Amino acid sequence: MFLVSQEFVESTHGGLGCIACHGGENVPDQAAAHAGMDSYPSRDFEANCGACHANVTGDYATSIHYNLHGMANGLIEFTDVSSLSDSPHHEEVFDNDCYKCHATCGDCHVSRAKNFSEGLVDQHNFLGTPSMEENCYACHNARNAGEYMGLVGFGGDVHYEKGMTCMDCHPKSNFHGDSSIEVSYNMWEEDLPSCLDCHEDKDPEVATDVEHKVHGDSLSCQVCHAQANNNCFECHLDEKADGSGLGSSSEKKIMFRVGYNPLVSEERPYKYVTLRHVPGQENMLEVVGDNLMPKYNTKTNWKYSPTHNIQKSTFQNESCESCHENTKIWLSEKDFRETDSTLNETLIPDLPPPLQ
Amino acid sequence: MSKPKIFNNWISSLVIVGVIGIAALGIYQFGIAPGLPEEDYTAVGGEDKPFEFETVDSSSCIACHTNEAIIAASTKGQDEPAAEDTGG
Repeated sequence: MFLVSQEFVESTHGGLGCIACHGGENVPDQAAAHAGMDSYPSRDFEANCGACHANVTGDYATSIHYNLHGMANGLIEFTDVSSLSDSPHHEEVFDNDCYKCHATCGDCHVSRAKNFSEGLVDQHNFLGTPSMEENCYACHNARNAGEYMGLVGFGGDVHYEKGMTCMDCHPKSNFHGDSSIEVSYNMWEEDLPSCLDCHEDKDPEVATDVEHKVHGDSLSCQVCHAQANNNCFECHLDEKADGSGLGSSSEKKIMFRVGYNPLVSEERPYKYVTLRHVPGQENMLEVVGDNLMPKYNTKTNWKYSPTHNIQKSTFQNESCESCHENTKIWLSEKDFRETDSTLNETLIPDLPPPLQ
Repeated sequence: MSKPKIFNNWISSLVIVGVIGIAALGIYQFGIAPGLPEEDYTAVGGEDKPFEFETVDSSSCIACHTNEAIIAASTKGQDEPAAEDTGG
């Protein structure tokens, strides 16, 4: 598990000597050698990595992989506090459950993530480009990475089948952060990839095929080209059976639903988008306190989903009828549960116009 | 002393001076001081500086951690789950 290759020993990082980053003592006795050593030196990334990589570490505190602001702000928006530190209960939830996905340099470039059985990806060799299978998938397994690789849902993404990795679309700033960006809610303000970055000829303004011209900006690309995605319901937080802290559990369901765009923006002006039900219910935090989500009904549980299992041909784009006359794919009251936010109703779309 | 006739044409003069200059640079680079140009270092903390870290002797660590038999005998991490669904 912690076998180190000779190749690493002879590399630039290996040349520093293990103790330079990990501490400990250079003595033959195992216990004495490991006394005081730090198995996770990039926890202090500014000191240990920043000496050479200041151009990266300088911005890293702004990365949502580090600060998890997307998750923190997602939790805060259901509460009546403006910061997790204002509420010990919410902070406890975040630190015990959400924070396990917090990552620093080593979690992507050297090791597998803590929640993915730890260990080294490649015998301590530093990977300039992290492993999609062992790093990205470790944390994003239930949704985007799992769906992209065909391990969740019905089929993988055509871009994955053609050999593309997460890093082929997502710019470095999505991982390393960008201090010029103010992330207010989640990562929507980041410099995210767009299908049109590569598929310029499918821009409705220049497209020559009828499908892309006629739908214009009404539909996100995923409405026609994504497959079913993983939806989580009835999330609840409980004490772990082994007493090691708090853990969440939820019911999962592979579904495909299209509804009104809950997050219209200049970059994503679409009227209809693919939706994903995210985990949550009003009493999900009752294990740590009462009424911890007082603003629960001011946000929807069905969220904009840039589903990552794209295919050119899907069941809903097989013909005009397979979408326009297929009422099963459109979000409806039948999809709602008693525990859902009442605001979900605003996402139920009018059915598409009948075909001439 | 009269100059060679070839220098009566200014273009010829320019070519000859150029050829001599390039030849001199070649003799210096490959004969007198062979090697690559001085390394450029990535700016760190706003300054250009060389890799300044010295090796910390870690021969004991390396002796064990590069030995497959020793690491295979370790029980560290064996009680960890193979993977955990993070819900992420």
